[in-house]
Amino acid sequence: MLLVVAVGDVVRYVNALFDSIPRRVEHWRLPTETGKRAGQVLAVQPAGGDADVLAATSFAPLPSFWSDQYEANLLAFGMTYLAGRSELVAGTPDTECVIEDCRGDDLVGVCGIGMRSAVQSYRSRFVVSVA
Amino acid sequence: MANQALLIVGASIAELRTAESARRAGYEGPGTFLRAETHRPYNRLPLSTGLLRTHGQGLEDVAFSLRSGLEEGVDWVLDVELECDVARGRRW
Repeated sequence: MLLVVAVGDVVRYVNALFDSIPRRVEHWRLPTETGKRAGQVLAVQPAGGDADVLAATSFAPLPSFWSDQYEANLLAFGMTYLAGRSELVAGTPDTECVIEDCRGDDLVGVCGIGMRSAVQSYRSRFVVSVA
Repeated sequence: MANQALLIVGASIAELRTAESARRAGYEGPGTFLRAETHRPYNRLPLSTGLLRTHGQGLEDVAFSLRSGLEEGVDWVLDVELECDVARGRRW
């Protein structure tokens, strides 16, 4: 059986953390995340595994990026551009701050200038919701 | 299935991690990487920063180490260019 998979920045995929719309995300960890998943898919049948079990497991990598601009450290998780509104929840943009990005009532992204531990703590807030 | 083979087009970090993941997940068959570049996989991130600022460094400083069972049973076909025949591909 011929099985073809694609990995890296060129691929669109559904991220179960957000919705069921396939999107292409050029994000620095995506080559690794898509590669891990693709390798599991490629190996599961030759290794005698159950492809259905793997298929039922959501692909849900949490996008993140960071950038150090001299003394300012930017850190973000999620897909901020999906947000319909953004809210400053801590600090001030002049020094350091945390901004939440929401789509409706759902958190879809968080971005911080400084305040790294506060921004890091948001990681556990991104979970796959069971419909 | 003994007749399985893994053909990987490209050999940057995404393709390397794919092969590593397949090995870790139990794939024991042969693998072949096809790549246009003349080098085996290397980390591109330092190319625009550290590597340019430092003399006397080269591929060995940025090459990814092979792990997860890719040391053996893997062919590296480098310096090749491929064309994608989309019309033919649709017959698969």
